[in-house]
Amino acid sequence: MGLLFRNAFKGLKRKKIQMFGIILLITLSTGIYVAMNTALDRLEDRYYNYLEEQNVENISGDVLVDYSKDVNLEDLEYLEEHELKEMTEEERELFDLYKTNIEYENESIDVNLTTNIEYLFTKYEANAYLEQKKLKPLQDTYRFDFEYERSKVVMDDDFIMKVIPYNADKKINKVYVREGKLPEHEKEITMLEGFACANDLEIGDTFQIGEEEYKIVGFTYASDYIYPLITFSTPIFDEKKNNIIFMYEEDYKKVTGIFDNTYALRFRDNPPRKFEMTLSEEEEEKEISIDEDPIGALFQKETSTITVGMNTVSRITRTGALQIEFATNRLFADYFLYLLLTISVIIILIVTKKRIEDERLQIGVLKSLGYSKYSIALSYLVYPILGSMIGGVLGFCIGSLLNGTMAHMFLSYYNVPLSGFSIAISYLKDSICIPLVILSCLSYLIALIMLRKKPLQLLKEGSNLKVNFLSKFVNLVTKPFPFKSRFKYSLASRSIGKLLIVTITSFATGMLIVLTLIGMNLFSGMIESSFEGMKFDYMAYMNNQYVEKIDDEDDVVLNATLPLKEVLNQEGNKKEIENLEDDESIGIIGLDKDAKMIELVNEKKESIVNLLDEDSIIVSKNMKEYLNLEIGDQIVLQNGENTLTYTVVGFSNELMSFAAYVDREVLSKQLGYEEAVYNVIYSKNAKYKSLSKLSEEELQKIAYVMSFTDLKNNIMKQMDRFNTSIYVVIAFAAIMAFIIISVIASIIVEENKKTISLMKVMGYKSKEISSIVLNIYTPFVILAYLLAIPTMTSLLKWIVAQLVGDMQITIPISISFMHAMIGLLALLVAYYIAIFIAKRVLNKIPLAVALKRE
Amino acid sequence: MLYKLENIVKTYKSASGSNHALNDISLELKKGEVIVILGPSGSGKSTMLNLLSGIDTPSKGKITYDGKRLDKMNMEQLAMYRREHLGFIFQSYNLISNLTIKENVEMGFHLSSDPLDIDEVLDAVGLHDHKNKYPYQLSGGQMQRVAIARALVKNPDVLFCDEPTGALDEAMGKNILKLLQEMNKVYKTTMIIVTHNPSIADMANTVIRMNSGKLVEVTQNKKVKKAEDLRWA
Repeated sequence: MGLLFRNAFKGLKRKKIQMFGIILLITLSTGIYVAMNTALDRLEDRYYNYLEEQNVENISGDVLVDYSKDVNLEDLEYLEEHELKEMTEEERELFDLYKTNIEYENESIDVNLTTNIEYLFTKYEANAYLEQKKLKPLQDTYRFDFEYERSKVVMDDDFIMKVIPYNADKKINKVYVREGKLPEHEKEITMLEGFACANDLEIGDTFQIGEEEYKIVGFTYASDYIYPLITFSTPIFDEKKNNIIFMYEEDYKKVTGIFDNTYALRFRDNPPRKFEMTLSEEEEEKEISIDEDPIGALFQKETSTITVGMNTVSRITRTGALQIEFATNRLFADYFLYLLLTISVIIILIVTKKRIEDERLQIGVLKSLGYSKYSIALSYLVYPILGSMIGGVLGFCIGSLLNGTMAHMFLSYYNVPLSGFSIAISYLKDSICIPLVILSCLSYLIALIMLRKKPLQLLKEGSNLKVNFLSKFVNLVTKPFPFKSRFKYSLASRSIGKLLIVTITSFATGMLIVLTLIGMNLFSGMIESSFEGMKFDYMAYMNNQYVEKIDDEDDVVLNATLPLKEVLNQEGNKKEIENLEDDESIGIIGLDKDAKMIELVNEKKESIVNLLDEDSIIVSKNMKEYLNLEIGDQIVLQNGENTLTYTVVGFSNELMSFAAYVDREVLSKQLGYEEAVYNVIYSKNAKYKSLSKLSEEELQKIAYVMSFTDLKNNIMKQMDRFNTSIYVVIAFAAIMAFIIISVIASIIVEENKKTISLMKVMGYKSKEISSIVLNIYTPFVILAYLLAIPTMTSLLKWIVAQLVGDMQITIPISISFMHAMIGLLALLVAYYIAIFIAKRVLNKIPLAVALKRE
Repeated sequence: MLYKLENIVKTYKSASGSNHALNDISLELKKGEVIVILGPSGSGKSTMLNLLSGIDTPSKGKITYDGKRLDKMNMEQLAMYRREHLGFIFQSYNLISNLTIKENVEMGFHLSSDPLDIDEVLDAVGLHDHKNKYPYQLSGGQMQRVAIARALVKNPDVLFCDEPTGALDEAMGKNILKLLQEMNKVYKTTMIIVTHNPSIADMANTVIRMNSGKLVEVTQNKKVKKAEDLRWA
């Protein structure tokens, strides 16, 4: 027994590459596991503490005011004396007209009047009074506090900024000071540290906004902008362009920008207390559990008062996106650990099998002396135990050192203060124990299976010479080949295990490489296709419906979202749509036939906008697939108590958007307007890029501007980062393949030592020997990679097909020939470097090995 | 004269000091003969085989093969020398288990610029009917015959045999030696057999006796016995 253990330790010196490979794999897997998990632990603790310390909102929403119903005379009298003191004469006339309507309780106040009143109230921020009047009665019922969050989105040629007036009495979404101080005087501002760094700014420098210069007095975080999503024009945070500024109240009033006011609600109890609701029968059918989602329950009940509107941008993204990062990264850390451990197990299995074959005579002797296979198998735990101990400790040390870097990497887009360095000793236990238990148990099990032969069988001469079925099959198939090829494939087929590992490694590496290359193509392809048909640079979303265009050159549309009642086929029968939600709504776009900037084209690139008439509808490709539509089908939408029925006349060839198009005038009248109205402008006018170029009146009307130039630039810029990370992933995949193939190649050389020595003695040249012994897996590597291409492509297409309905986009999946060859090259480079290293070992095998007697 | 050795010394260094595996050996070997190098374990006979076959190089002295200095050749030249002129038979056969008998013989066939016909050689060693079998399907004697066929198919000038009967019983051993004698007669291949079995010396033309790295004596057998008549030790 001691003999076997001694042999095992002696063998370690000879099998340096294999042992090194195992230790490296375990170190890598545990290192990444420790680094990611300790970084995530630090971040999660800090993140949740930060949310509490800064009293971050639970809900960000708008309050809806119906100016025909929610306003009374007392309100108007109050506002007249306070917020509306400085009305112009014209404004006063309007106000008086409105007041008269309210006084005499006119049931239907003219839409134009209420629209104009809403401008007026917004201009003087009188709307806040009405909104808060609606909100306050809900406070005690739902047990929350709220604050009115005022801000403006300021855009100029170089920057997109959110400007917020600093309020020292703020209790919700408190400002976090990173460095310096908060603005105490006029012309003082604070900003994001990342923006300052990217633009070479320091505390004490000046920064221009519009025509004014301000002094930077500090670096701060807005705690409700953990992910600083300022506009949808720059969805990916660009720290050179995007900024959040706090300034003095008086300065804020003078800044030109689009108002972006919202309410921050925070529940008083944490977690929010369960409360009873009385629901109507209809509401009960759609009940959201209050315990599970008190926020959802609030919105379900109070949607006539509170909503999350587009101009408030998603609360989930701003404050909650980091949680998704935590979850996905933990999953990745675990997956990566177990993946590399699986590979380590397979390598240890091969090494164990080889050792058992080499030591079969000694094992046969031990068994015939009475040793059980259980005790003999123990000597084969040397590799997994040593590998786990050394690799685990190394991995823990490296992971601990790297957790700071990892934490900062996770936070690259997020504003959460992080400081300090920590080591979590508990992970040392995981780093050693997880690989130790997995590798040892599996190695022991495999050794037991391999040691099942009887002593006589092991001792029989030539008992190791038997040829497996694969070798025989390969010999049969390769009969017509030249001798060297036959020899090569015969050696390759000797061990199915090694062949499988090399093939699977190449296949898995190929899948990863192809996935990243498709990703590279995919996003740039999507961007090109998405922006291809756009003839406009800006979309200006209005805060109400208007009749008169601002500029005649612009196109205007009327956006509406209406619940889908049913879809009928050409015979008028209801169609069953798979996966259709009960309360599905679809976006309808009312379009003019003479629109110049929005093209509706079919797959043949023919314009189909002329098909729009009284009751016809054109739908996007995504909607067609989701609702399984054909020409002649009918879409029935609910509009209050009425239904609107449209006949499908065409399909527009767009990638993004899940929309349907109808005639604008028709839609306006169906929605109750006397004339054709619009609520979105499509424009090429550069005045929408920099809001300071808009007039006061225009600014008042606009709720939000989406700049497609900025969006495209934002995405393309981040694509560079994404493309760089793709090459990193490819390099990583190639390195993993290199490690695994190196280990396998070293095993191959060792296994064929006698054959190699024999060939040297017989006079074979080194090149010939390495070609026959080592280059045996080249066709399998290439074949595995080529198989990976259609496999990954099909897999991605299937995944995308599942996502079409949920994500409402179509994603083109393809890989170019050149990219496919780049991937193959990366894999082959790794393979040939591994082979080259093995060749050096091969060249050192002495000739005398062939002469050794067994 | 095929080989000429002049003042050959081979020294191995170890932790305990230097070891003279061969100490000042000088001799000549003729072409076409059966030569047996005899000696106990540690006598230096395997080292002698290694030097003559170019597997190893001497620490001092000269080795000439057919007028060419082996001690001056580099690794590649020695490999070419073995490829073009030599054949090897080992005690442990060294067959490739995944290749058929015929393919094992092909290993030698493809090295030679003037090989013999594979089927003829297999026939000569009595294994033509087994050519599609694998080594694990053969007995020890049959496997050694395959090794002989592999060595002979190259049509070598010299055949080195390192304890060719070491793993075989008397009957099989004599069969193998008989085969070697026949090959020597038919193909005129010089046979150099390294063994510790003194009975094999009786079938040799020249017997070289070694002990402790030194040449004890070199004798010429006036009467060469047939392999089947050898008295087995």
